[in-house]
Amino acid sequence: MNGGALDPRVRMAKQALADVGRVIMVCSVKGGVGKSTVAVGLASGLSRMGRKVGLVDLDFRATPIKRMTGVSGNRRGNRTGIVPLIADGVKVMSAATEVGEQALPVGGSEAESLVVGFLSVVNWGRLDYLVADMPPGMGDELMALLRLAGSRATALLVTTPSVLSLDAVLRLVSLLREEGVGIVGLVENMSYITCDCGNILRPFGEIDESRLREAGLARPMAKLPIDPEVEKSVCQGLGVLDTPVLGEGIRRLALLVDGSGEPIS
Amino acid sequence: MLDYARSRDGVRIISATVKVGTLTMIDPQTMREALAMISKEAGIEGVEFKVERAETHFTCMKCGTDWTFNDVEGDLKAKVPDDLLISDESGEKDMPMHYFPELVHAWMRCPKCGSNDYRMTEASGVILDKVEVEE
Repeated sequence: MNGGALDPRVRMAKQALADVGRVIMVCSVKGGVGKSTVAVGLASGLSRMGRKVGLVDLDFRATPIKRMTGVSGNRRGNRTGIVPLIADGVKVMSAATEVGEQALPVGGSEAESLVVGFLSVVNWGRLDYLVADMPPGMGDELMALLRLAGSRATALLVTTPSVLSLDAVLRLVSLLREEGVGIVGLVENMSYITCDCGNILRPFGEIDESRLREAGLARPMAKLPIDPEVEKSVCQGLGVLDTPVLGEGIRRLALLVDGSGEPIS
Repeated sequence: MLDYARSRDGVRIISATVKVGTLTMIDPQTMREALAMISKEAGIEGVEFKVERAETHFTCMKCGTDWTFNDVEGDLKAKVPDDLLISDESGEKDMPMHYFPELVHAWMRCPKCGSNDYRMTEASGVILDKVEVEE
């Protein structure tokens, strides 16, 4: 499904994005580093600050956002598209709300086309922020979104302290710089875990911040812990933001992203 | 089409026929309006746009079988659960793949070998079929 320049949805997607203040792509190259947790928490945090927020799940293979936000309800459509479901004040679009538990093996031009569809055939309305939960890597979904969003696209990078994850994220930074994408900042996730005895453990070590400086990046905007409460929260359909430890970190991240918070000390 | 018109002085495009795949929900009127807008922005006005439906084709990458959306639409309607149908303003319910054609992968399989490894090969989206010009 690739109509190229003739596809009216491309034009519709660009028009929809023109009504968005800022597109924040939450991305990393490695999977399992916590992109979706950060994306859902950030979207909720911005929404609770009174901002108009959309959350689009572009990780079509894993589609975690439905479970993480707990969105449900009947879906409605009209001549111009479908009405997104709402969770915690956030307009949510995820393939999981459309296909349930079915696998969705789309790739290549079909994945690109689905990105166009999720932006054009959904009635997003005017938004302050559109948070995009990206799939791992630098594939078709990322490039398709960059083409559509142009200068509105910014990237919030997520990594664990692991050198392997950081290596991969720094490659992504090179690509984003070449494409002229603004980098919101870096989130260090799974940074530490606090034992019941109060000791802090760092199972993945610590990020070598000299490498961040060499890449022209600031210190991490947030250092988020491994919080066992998150898994319980997801299983119970509760918001990530309401978990006691991680929730506090992501609320502070949302303030920073919005330009109204203090950097971490 | 736009490149052709720009590259030839004195050539006027009279009409263009565009085919839209049967799997998409693109409304012909919306399509005509969008094309008129695009051509106006490109400095080519007065083109008559004809929008026609075309059968969406698929090819299995595993066994090579070709089929059309119409061949399997009835089976698909039975496979998509009611709670995943999307209601329109008149209360009619439609399959999500009419809004997002790629979602067809969630339910459709090759009718011969059952594989999900297939591609939309013809009329997957929008195709420029014919252009009538005046020299």
